Amino acid sequence: MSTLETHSGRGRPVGRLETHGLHLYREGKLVLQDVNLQLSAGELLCVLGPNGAGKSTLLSAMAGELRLAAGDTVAINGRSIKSIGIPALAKMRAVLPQASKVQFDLPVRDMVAMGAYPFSHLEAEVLEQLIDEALRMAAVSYLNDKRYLKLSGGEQQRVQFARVLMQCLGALHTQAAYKTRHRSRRLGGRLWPALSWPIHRARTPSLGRSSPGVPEVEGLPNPNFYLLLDEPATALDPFHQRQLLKTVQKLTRQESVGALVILHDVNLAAVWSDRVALLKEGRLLACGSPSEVLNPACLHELYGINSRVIPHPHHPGRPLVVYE
Amino acid sequence: MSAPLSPFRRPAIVLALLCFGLAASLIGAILVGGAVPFSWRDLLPFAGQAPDSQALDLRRMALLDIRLPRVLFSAVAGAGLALAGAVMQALFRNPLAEPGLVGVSAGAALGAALAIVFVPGGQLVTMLAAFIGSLAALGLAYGLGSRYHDVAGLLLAGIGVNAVALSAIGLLIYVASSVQLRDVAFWTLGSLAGADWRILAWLGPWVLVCGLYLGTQWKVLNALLLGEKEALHLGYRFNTVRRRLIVAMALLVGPLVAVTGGIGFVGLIVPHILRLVLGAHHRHLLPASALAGALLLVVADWLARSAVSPAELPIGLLTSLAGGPFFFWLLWRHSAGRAS
Repeated sequence: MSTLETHSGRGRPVGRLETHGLHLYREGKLVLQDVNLQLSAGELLCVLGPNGAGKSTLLSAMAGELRLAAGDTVAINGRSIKSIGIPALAKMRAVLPQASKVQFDLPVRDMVAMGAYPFSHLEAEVLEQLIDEALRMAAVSYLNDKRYLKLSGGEQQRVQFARVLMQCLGALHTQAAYKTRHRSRRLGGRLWPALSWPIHRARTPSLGRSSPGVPEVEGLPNPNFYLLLDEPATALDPFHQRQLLKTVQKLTRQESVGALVILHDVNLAAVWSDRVALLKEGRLLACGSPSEVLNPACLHELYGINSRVIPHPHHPGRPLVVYE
Repeated sequence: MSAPLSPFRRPAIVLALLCFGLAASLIGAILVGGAVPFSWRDLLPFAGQAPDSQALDLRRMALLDIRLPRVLFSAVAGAGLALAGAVMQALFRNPLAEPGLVGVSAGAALGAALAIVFVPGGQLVTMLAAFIGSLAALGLAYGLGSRYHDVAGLLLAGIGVNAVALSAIGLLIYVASSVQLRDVAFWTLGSLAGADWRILAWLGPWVLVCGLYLGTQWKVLNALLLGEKEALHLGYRFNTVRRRLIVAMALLVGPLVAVTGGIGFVGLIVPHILRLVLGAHHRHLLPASALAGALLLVVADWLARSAVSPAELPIGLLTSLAGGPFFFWLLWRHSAGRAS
């Protein structure tokens, strides 16, 4: 808890998924060099960089997949990621890998339901509602009873996204139910009806750019949830790219989820992210708001391409990058 | 498989059909065919008042002490083998995997051959040696294979163990007498003739316990379909899960193979066909595999007994005869699927 308070600096604990001076070797080669990256709860952070820059390795390290060198270099909500068991970690973050090679066929709904495996306490009825919600949020409701392997690449990608959303919804529902129970006990032990978050929250219109304040998290087992998405937009058409990032943004705004998204499309990052991190050859070149970081100098250093940056005609305050 | 985009069959319907089929085949296998014909009247308690009551007693004894345990055991063995096959295929993420892949069958065969050649002590000794052999082979394959990071290591180690065990059996055949040679050959062809009530009483509950345990692991098996990393993201550490599943699988299959000898392809075919019908959701696939495996082996043993009655075909031969072409078809279909 002490780590949490020192980092928040506002008295109220803000959850973070962070790396401190992360060094990572793979087969004798230094893949990540002194990376200090903070992903705060309620923030959408995009990571840009050329192929082989170490983006996926960074994401793997932050997901707790890799055996880290000595020293606590990755911490989630103030705790070293090494001290958290794999099942507990599954309740704190969800990961969408670049491409899943699935050999065996199964119905889309069962695929999405796998996201709820870490939350075995969910009742069947709630589970079905959450699956419906995850399918809807990933815009794949119409694929509900289809066979996964018969889908197109983009559809499979969206179904995988729905599975990851399901894991997020499972965590949020668990927290909401916990909070409700906690509150009801204080109010004289009267049991409130279980709060099914997405059903009643998603109906209310988006509040836009409201402050990403963290709701009361004291006493909760896992206060903040994180989404780590590795190139989720690559196989998608522009409509679904936009739809996906909109969904992620909504989760960060309304539910204080922290999202780290690896992208290749600079302009997607410019429009949707709160902050952008530029990674090249295993080092963090820059990290800041899109308008700070996405300038011709940085982009030239990152990709070696000349570009012009103009104000975005549709999104005020956001840059638009035009390559030469 | 009808239209390509059609959803899978309803699991409840498939499971109900399999239950029905299994019940029908059990009754059929008990009453019809084989060296001694029975009629359902023989089972009635007061039918024994007929004039040839001695012959009837003999028939009833043959039914209750030989036929009944054998048929029930074939169901148990089929269920166990098919279930283990489904688990192996999920673990290796490969539709061509089966328990024999990690050396279980070859190890059991080697153990049995060793016992037949060097410790002539009858059927029970052979079974015990086969069981030890299967566990030893699997332990060796696992010990070598788990040094690799992913599941391919286990596969390679299994291939190595299989090769060593088979060449050792070849060596034993070379030194064996002609009677021993015949015993070894018959053992590897597989038979359910050794089943009696005693074995059924041991292995029935054993298979039930191991099978029920594996049945509870359907979530892990589903998660493994996504990949090792994805399973980790969902809270399952691959090495732990692999160890658990392999041990349970070995404990399930080892004793079965020790009793039945080499009965191939049940563990390969059954889960594969069911995945085409049901999909790979293990919550449904595992019980369906157990039921269908039981059904298949009961029918196969029934055929083995009645095809050339009063003699009988080795059941392993029968399953391999049917399974071999199916395997080719599987490979062909798999490569065709890749190409398109």
